[in-house]
Amino acid sequence: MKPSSNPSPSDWTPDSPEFTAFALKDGPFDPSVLGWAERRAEAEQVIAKSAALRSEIGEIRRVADDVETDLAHEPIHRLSIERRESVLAYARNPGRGLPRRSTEDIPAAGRDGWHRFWSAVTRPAMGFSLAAATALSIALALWSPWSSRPASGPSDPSGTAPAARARAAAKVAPSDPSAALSAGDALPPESRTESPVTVVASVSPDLDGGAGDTLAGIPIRGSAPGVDRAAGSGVRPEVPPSAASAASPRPPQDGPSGEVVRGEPQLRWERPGQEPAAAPSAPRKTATAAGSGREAGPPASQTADRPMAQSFPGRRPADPSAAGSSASAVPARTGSAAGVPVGVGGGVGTGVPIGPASATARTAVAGDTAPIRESSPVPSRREVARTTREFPFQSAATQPRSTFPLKPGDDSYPEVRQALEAGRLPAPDSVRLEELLNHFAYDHPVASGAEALSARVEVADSPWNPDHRLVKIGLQARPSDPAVRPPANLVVLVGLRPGFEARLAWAQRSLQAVVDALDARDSLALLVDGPRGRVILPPTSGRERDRLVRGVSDLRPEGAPQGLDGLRRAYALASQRHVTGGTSRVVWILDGEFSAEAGTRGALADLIREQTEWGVFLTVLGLGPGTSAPPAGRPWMPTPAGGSYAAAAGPAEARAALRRELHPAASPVADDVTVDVRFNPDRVDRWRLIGQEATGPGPQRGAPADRAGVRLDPGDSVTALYEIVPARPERPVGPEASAASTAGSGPGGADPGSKGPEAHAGAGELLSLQVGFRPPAGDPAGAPRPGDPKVSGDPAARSLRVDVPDASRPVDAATADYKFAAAVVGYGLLLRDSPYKGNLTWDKVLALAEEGQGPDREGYRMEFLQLVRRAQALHGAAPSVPGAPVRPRP
Amino acid sequence: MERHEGELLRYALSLVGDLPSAEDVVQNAFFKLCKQEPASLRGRLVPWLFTVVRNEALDRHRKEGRWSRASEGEAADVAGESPSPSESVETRDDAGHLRTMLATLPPNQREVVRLKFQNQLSYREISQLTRLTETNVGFLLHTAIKTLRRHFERLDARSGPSSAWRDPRP
Repeated sequence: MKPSSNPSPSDWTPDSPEFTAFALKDGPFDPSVLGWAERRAEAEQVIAKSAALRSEIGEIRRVADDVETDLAHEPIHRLSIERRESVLAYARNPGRGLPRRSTEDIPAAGRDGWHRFWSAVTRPAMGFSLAAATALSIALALWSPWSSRPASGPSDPSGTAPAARARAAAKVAPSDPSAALSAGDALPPESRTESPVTVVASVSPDLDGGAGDTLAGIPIRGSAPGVDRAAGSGVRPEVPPSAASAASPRPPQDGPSGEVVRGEPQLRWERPGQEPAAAPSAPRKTATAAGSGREAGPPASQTADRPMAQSFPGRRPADPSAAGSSASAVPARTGSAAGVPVGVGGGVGTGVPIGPASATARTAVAGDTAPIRESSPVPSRREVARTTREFPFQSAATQPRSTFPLKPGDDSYPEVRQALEAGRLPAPDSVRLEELLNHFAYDHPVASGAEALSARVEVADSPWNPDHRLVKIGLQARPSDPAVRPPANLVVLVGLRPGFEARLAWAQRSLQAVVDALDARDSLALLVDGPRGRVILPPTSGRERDRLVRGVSDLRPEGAPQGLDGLRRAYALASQRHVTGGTSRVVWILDGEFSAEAGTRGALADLIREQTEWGVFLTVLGLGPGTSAPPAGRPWMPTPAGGSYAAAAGPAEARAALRRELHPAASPVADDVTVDVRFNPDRVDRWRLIGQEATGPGPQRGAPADRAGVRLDPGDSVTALYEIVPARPERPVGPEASAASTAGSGPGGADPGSKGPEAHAGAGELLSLQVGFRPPAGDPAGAPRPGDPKVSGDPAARSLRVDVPDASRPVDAATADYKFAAAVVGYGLLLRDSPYKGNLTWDKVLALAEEGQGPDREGYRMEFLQLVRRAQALHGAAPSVPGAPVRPRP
Repeated sequence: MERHEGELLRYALSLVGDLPSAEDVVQNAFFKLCKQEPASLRGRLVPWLFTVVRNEALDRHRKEGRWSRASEGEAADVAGESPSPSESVETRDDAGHLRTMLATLPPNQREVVRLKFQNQLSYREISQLTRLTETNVGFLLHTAIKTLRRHFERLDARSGPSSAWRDPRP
């Protein structure tokens, strides 16, 4: 087992460690390592010639992604309260020698007893050797240029991964000490010693040790005596009567005052009143609850902490299509391999620039590697345990850069809706702001023609704090080119039973969207699965839009679905029309409760298999909350090639799932997309990304994906909101000021490459948005053109840049989109009872949502209004004084 | 502290095998952190903490190995308690299978895999932390991925539903 020497890429085999490093974009191919671009270019040339190597790369990345996802599922532990407290006490007075540790005070039970005892006995010797080891490590650390990890990891709430940022900047200086300093880690120990530290601890009385037990908040100031020593060692605590009965919970200390938060302990279980309801109401979050309640449980509870994975029975990280509700999941198996040429880059921005926006496109020499499949990290990562708190404010002087997740999940909105519809307030942790925000579509300028991406930035005063501003950033990938989409022969079998009219309405809305996208090459047939098996619409050309629309609105359930017979009829319809070069597909819409009768399962399986061999594919679309990906309950769904399954918990998901059926082989529009937001410290005092960070596992949520580079599929869009505290005290600018900036990825404008990686936004600007990406391989627009500027380092990289002027306007003068986005986030802030909610009220949220209705083509925004009213009513029933526990109504 | 403790605890747990010891290790690392000049750690706090945790954990291992439930070979990973890979390999849906697979890797590969994929450290950071050369880290990762990949393939070959749902689109 001897490491091989460094062969040149031309000598690579799939067995070369360097090849793995290349696939992982690390080691010699880490963008922070000098000369990586040349090595990468050389390797890509070799790999482009070898299909075997290309497929190997895909496999390696898939395994890496699986491993990463699964490891992220491991339980997240927290130090016990007592240990935290002792660290904090020590931090205030590090000169007085090491405090005694809890394990010495309390002999642990069971077979660990001797272990603990000896641990105590051998302590002095150990301490000595530890000191030596530490000294050594410090020396090593001082000597070596560690700065290649300047601000990533949990210390970086912006979720920026160094590699991603390096790629975005296309240049990084790992050994440059100034880089390390300016991006410095945000946990300066001095903040512990200076700031009044409040630990709000919750102790679970020993009822049954479950996460749902009543938690009482106990504020501990300074070096208060240990509240519950037993908890410290992970031993089940006795009930401290004082703890159980005492104390009003305190709100978090980093509240609306907008203080920069640095590493102060903010235990996520600071809101005791909401916990008991959280566990039963949000089963998927039980791991979170269990994690926080860990102090009450035995240390061996790790395995019990893992229900999350189980609640996603169909999760299979390698196959993004399994997560049907992900709007952007394009089947990775076929999508990238198809390598369909899609024009990227080059064109002039269509976004109407308001204000001094500039757009830059970069093209360059040399083809990229041929398409390399990267399984989408999104669906699986969503399940990562989230003990969430919101991102705190950051100082723009010390941390001028940020990024945001490009593929936020889509679970939170349906979860919250489900809770509200059931008459209770959602668990705060299920309210994930960026997911709520991205549940809705906004009117981003549409990139078209050869452009891959477009962006829009809008700034206005914050609705909940007039001294702050909100910056809305929208990023939009070019929609798919109909010429690229193969013609489709779709047969939709509606197997919804009477009583599921609401879901039928989703299905109809989704189908209308499909109809809108059909053209003369396509056909659609509709039939109902029921005793009569009505054919609503025989295969009809996409050109006959009126008939299609009428057919969709004529859909009615007609009784118990027949399953096998219904499906046979659907296949028969599909066979009536053949599309040359296209796909034939039966979409079977179920209400999520369907299960085939035992006697027909074999026949169903045979039918599906046989039809698949004939080239007619099946997609099962389960509608309704609680529908999950296929596996266990549907043994009748057969064979690897037999079908795909999508589950949709709401209309948006249903629409996305159906949209995917129309674009089975859509190629990504942009690969390795990275976002870099740079604040100008002269104009921005502090900023925060509105959203939550997941504490614990590795870097922040989104960061691994950013590191690996995210791909955007046709039509993908993402929206992010930043809250900014301007540097200047005076209120600026009237409504006439231009406050929106747009850009497409066309050429022209400033050259972002001319600024170093640490460059801030330019003088006079509030911030600049820089989006780096690579056109997918095989893209003709990826070819070099004379006169194209080059991004240093990466020959294929392009970027899109929007410089946002320092201007704002009152929220009343903002666009409808902006108001609606603010309303959605405000709704989340109030539901979370966020410390950042400022002077926001439900009435204000309602007003914003109403003013922000816009065209509301699909009626989603109207639905949102209903939810806000509902939440307001529920909240009205509960005390909402800051700091008081908000108890949901049973 | 809150930002780092979860990550550090998980890493420590993978090294020492039981939670109380892991907590000891992490707590100690924070104690040491308090003694540091803040300026001396700017920009490299995370690697510093990892290094301290690692040293503490290994030191603890050496000192207490006799009494520890976890010998470096087995219980260093919680998955050591699980049945053999082939038994649990069916349950692809349960993320626990990966830990089972990880347990079949040699400890050094396992650690590198965790640092790379769980803690998102780069080759270079891992090499500085583990005092291995970067080439060595690359080799360990490469070997580990190959092994895991074989496991995954075996799993795919036998498993039912989940692989059945690979998209059939042509």
